[in-house]
Amino acid sequence: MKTDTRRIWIALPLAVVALCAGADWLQFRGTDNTSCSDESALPTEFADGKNVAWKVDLPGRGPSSPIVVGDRVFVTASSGPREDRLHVLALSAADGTTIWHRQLWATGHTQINPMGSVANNTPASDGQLVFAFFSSNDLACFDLDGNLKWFRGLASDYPSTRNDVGMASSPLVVGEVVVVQCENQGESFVAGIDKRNGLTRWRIPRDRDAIWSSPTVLRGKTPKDDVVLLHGRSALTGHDPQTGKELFRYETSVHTVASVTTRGDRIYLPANGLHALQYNPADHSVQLLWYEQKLRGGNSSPVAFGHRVLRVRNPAILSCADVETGRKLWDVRLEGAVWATPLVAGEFAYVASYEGKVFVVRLGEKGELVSTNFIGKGVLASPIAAGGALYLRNDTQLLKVASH
Amino acid sequence: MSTWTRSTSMGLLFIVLAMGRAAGADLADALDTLRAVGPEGAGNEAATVAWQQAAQVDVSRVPQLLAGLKGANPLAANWIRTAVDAVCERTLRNGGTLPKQAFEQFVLNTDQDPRARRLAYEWLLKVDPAAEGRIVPQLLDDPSVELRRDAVARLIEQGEKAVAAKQTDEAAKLLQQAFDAARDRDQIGTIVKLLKDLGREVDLVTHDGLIVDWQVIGPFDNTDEAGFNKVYPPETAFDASAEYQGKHGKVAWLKYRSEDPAGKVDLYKALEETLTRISEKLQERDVVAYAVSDFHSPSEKTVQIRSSTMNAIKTWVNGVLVDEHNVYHAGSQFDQYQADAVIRRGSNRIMVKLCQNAQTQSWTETFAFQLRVCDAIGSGIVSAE
Repeated sequence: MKTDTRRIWIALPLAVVALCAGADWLQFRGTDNTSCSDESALPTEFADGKNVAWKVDLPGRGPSSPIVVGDRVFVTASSGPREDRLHVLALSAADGTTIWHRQLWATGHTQINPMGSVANNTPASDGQLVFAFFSSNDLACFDLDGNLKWFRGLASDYPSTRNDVGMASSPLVVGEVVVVQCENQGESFVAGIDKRNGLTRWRIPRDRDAIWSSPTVLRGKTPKDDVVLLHGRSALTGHDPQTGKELFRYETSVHTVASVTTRGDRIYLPANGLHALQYNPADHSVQLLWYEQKLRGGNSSPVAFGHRVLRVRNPAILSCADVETGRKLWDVRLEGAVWATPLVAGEFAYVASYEGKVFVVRLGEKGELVSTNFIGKGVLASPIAAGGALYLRNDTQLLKVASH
Repeated sequence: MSTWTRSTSMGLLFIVLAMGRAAGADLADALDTLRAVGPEGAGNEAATVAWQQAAQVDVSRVPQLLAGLKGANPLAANWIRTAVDAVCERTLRNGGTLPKQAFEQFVLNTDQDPRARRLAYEWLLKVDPAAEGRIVPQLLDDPSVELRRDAVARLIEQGEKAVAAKQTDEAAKLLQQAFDAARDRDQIGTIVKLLKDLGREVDLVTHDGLIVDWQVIGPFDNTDEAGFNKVYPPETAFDASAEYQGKHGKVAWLKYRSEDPAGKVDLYKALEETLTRISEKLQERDVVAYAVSDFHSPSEKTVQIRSSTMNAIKTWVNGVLVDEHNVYHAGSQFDQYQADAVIRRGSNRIMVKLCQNAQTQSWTETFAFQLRVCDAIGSGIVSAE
C-alpha cells in the first residue's frame, strides 16, 4: 500500500508535466480563440535573457503569432523587397532549431503598411495539418513534417480581393473546414475550405469594406454545435462551420481590427465599447447582457477569464471589468502601443507593446504590474503559451521563455 | 572478366539505366500533374500524390524539377518550388551535398525561369558560398529581378566606397550603372539620393517609362460610385475636338503635362477650371475623368501597364480594357496595379478612367494617378515619339 501511494505521488507530477507538455496552442489566440492558457507556472521575469530558453532569428518579418503542435513550433514570415517570399517554418520546441522550412511565392497582392508584413496572419492547425495563410490570400496546407498537402492562391480566383495596407485576418480551423475571412474594398467573402483537399466547401459574400479581425469559434456542447463568429463593420454574425449558413445576426458598429472573444456561451464583442452577449444554442439567438462604453479598446482583442474580462484601452491601459456586469474594476497604466492581444495564464496577464516591452500584470482584486521585460522592438504578435513555456515574437526573432 | 561477370555487369547496368529512365518518367509525370493545378483548387488532390513523388527524388534530379518551373502557372510554381526545398533540405540534413556544377549552370542559364534560377542560386550558396563572387558580377542585366538586385547592390556598395574615397567621377559612373540596371524601388531611391548628393541629375520619368503627356476630360458624374460602370462618351470613341455633356455642362479635352518628377497626373489640378469646389479645403467629389495618351512603339510586343492611384481606375489600351480596380482610398504605392497588354507597331492609345467618390476625410483629397509602360521586370519603355 505504501509502495502504491509513493508511486501515485511520483506519478502525479509526471502526469501534470505530461499534460502541460501536451497543451498545444493551435491557432490565433489559442485553440479556442480565448487567449487563455491553462499554464500556471510561466516565468514572470524574462528581461536580459533571464528565463529565455532560446531565441532564433527568423527569415523574415511578420505580426503573425507562432502556434505549437506537440514538440514543434510553427511560424510564418515574409521577406524580399516586394514582400513576396512567404516562409513557413517548423522549429523544435526543445531548442529552436529548424526542422523544416518551406518557401512560397506570393500569388496575390503584397503591398502592405510598412509596420506589418505579408505574414500578418497567424497560421492554424488541427493537430495533424498546418494551414498557413498570408495577406496575399495564399493558403497552404502542410503536414507536420513539411509535406505540402494542398495550396490555394485565392487571388487567382478573386483578383480584386486585396487591401493596400494588408489583410490580417487569421484562418480558423473548425471541424472539417478552414475558415478564411477576406473582407476588403474589393470582392469580399468568407470561405470554408475543406481541410483535406483545399476545395471550397462554401463561400459567402461580404460587404466591400476593409476588416482586419479574425473569425472566431464559439464552442458548442459537441463539435457539431460549434459556431463561427464573423465581424463585419456593422454586424456580428454566427455561422454553421460546415455550410456557412448564417445562424444569427447582431447589428452594431463593430471594431474593424480587434476580434470577438468567447467564454462558454458568452460572447464579448469589441465595438464602440464592449458588448456582452448570451448565445442560446437552442434557437441560435443572441441577447445583449450588457454594454459598457468605458471598455472601448484599441486594436487588441478582449480576453474573458473566470469572472473578469480584460480590455486594452488607448493609450496602453489594461482595464479589468466584471464579466457579469461590465463594471470596470481597475486599470493598470502601461506604455507604448499595444496591438497584440494579452495572454492570460494562471494569475497573470502578459501584455506586449509594439516597442518591445512585455508587461506582466497580476490579476487580483487590483491589477499589479509585476515586471516589465524588453524582448526587442516591433512586437505585433500576441504572446502564446504551450508546453510550460511562453513564446514571444519581435520584429525579427522568436523567443521561448521557460523556467529552467 | 568472365562471361558471368560481364553478363552480370551488363544486367546491373541495364537495371540501373531502366530505373533511371523510370524515375525520370515518374518525375516528368509528377511535374505534369503539378503543372496542371488551377484555380479553385483544381488538381490539388492529384498534386498531393505527385508532390510526394517529386519531393522524394534524388538531389541529382533537382535541375529537372527546377526546369519544370518554366511556364508553370503561379499556383503550380509553388507546388514545384516546395518540392525543390524538400529535396535539398533532406539531402543536406542527411549529410549529402548539392550538385554544385549543375546548379551553377542552371543559375547562369537565362532561358530558364527567373525565379527558378534564383532558387537554385540560394541553394547553391548554402554549399558553395564562394559562388556569389563568381556569379553576381555577371547579373547586372539579368532578366531575374532578384538576381539582378544582388549585382546592383554590389555596384551601390562600390559607389558608396568611391564616394567615401572622394572619387566623385568614379562614384558617379558606378552609381549611374547601378541606376540603369536597378528595378527595385528601394535601390532606385538609394541610388537617386547618392547621385543627387554628387550633383548628378536623374531622370526617373524616362528610367521608369512614366507617361506624363495626356489629354484629359471631365468631370462626369460619379454619385453613389455609379460612374465606374457607366459608359460615358470618351469610352466609345476618341475625338479630340468633341464636346460632351459633363456633370455641370459641356466638357472638352484639355492638354495636360505632368511636371511631377514621379510622373503623378493630378486630375484635380488638370481639371481645376471645370470642377466645383466643396470648400476652400475640399475639391469636388463624386466625379469621373478620363485621360488619354498616344504611345508609339517600333514593334508589336507584350508590355506591362503599371499604375497607382487612391481612386477607382480603369485602363484601356487601343480600346481593350486591360485593368480595372473599383477601390477607393485603400492606399497607393508605386506599381500598385500591373496588367499585361499588347501594343502594336506604331501608335497606341492608352486611356485611363479615374473615379473619385464622396469621401471627404483628409486622406481622400486626391484625384490622381501614375502610369507607366514597362517590360515584365519593370524596365521602363518610353514612347518612340
